[in-house]
Amino acid sequence: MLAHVFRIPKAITGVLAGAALAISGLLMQTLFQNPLAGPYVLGINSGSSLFVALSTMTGIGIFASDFGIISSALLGAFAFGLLILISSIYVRSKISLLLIGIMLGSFSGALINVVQSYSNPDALKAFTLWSFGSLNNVAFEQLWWFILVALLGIVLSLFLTKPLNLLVIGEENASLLGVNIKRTRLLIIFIAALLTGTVTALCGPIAFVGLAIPNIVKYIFKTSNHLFLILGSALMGAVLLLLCDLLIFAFSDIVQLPLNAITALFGAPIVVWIILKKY
Amino acid sequence: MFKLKNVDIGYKKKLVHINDLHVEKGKLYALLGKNGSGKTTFLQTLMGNLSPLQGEYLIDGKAIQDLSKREKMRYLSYVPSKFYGVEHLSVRELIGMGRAPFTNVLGRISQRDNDKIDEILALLKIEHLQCLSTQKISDGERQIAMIGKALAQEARAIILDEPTAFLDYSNRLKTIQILKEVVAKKGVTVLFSTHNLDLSLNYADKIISINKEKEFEVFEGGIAKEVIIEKVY
Repeated sequence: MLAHVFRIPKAITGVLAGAALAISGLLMQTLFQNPLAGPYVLGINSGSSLFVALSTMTGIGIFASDFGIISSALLGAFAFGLLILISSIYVRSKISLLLIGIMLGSFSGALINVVQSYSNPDALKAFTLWSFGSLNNVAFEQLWWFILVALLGIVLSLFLTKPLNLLVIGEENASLLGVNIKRTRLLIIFIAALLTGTVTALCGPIAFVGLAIPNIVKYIFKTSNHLFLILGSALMGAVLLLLCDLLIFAFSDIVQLPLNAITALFGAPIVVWIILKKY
Repeated sequence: MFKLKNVDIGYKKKLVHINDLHVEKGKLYALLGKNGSGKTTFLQTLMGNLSPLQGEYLIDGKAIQDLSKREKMRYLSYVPSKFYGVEHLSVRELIGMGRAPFTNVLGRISQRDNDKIDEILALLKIEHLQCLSTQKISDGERQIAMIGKALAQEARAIILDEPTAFLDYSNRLKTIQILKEVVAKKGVTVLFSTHNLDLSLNYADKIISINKEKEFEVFEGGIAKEVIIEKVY
């Protein structure tokens, strides 16, 4: 009975969060034609964190409910997603765009620090725990809507298979092959922000999954067909977060490992591996 | 097939004025001009990525802005000057991308598409490359594969932006010869920009030049090199 109540929702949360983050990473890598892109490096996570911090710690009442956290995380994800999309139109260099994403992260990090210094200890503690990342905090009734959003994101991405496949040979070519570039760009950012924002609201800002998983999938599946890349990323992302959760569970008697630390511990070396391989 | 009358082109600001230009069907055109003379701007305008600031641009008698996306796909295909290749994307898959206007929402390649791809691989003599990754082949082979993609689209015109810029001499020659052959066998219009005077004067049916006064002029293919150098460079 206990297993039923605690383990199953947690497992489902892990599966959904992993799949959602990996898919939004894949979408952003294809959109920006950059293997180092992802919701975390490009600042979409930071947007969510910032808006969540603002709503939980400033005491601005309208966002203070449970639903408030989710809506502010989504709002932040969309806002920063659009910001990075607009930057990408003016900034042609792939590295510059990553730097802008990282600066967005630093900027919102600093703003969060400011907010933290004013907030009361309880709110501060709650926010800090949230920012560690965890699969534990999704209530049973939130799970349904999480399942719905994740499925919506996956189905929408599958409908983008053809434009995504064509985008890899460049926007000019894709456009002459029938892809509506503007609409596709906006849809990609919409899906990525929806998935990342939801995961961030429910599980905290989880780093590196979105960046690392699509690269591992491309390495294993050896294909550029997004039908397989989307499904593969969803699968591998789910497996990875389940493994992380297992690791946390195994050590839970000794220490409560933060999820975010574990994903970063395996993710950072993978980023270095990609840089060594491609640059 | 392309007609431009009193057209100003440029990004927001006028760069070049085109008095009267007619690009005929089924011919090989070379576009010559100094760096910064507006070659790429002109190609972007031809492809409809950039609207003319003023004047009239007609494709087969229809104004470009009135063409639907579908009609545009039937007229225009594009080969960029540098394609770096995509990890795990094979030459065959790249050419298959040209079939996108004919495939369903998931981009499934039909038997008819496969036959078409086979025909193009044979025409370009790159059957042996079809399973290789577009990242693992040479620059010259990659450029020819990209031309294959343009052919698969079955558009009536292929626009190439400096297709030989990054190639060595033998690959430049080969690429231009293939373009010539494609024009002869498929009856498509091919227009490429280039800095390669000798090859373009020898092989192109027509030369479009952007001269020092930023005016467009059209010459027959065999024109003397000195004339072009005097006018353009």
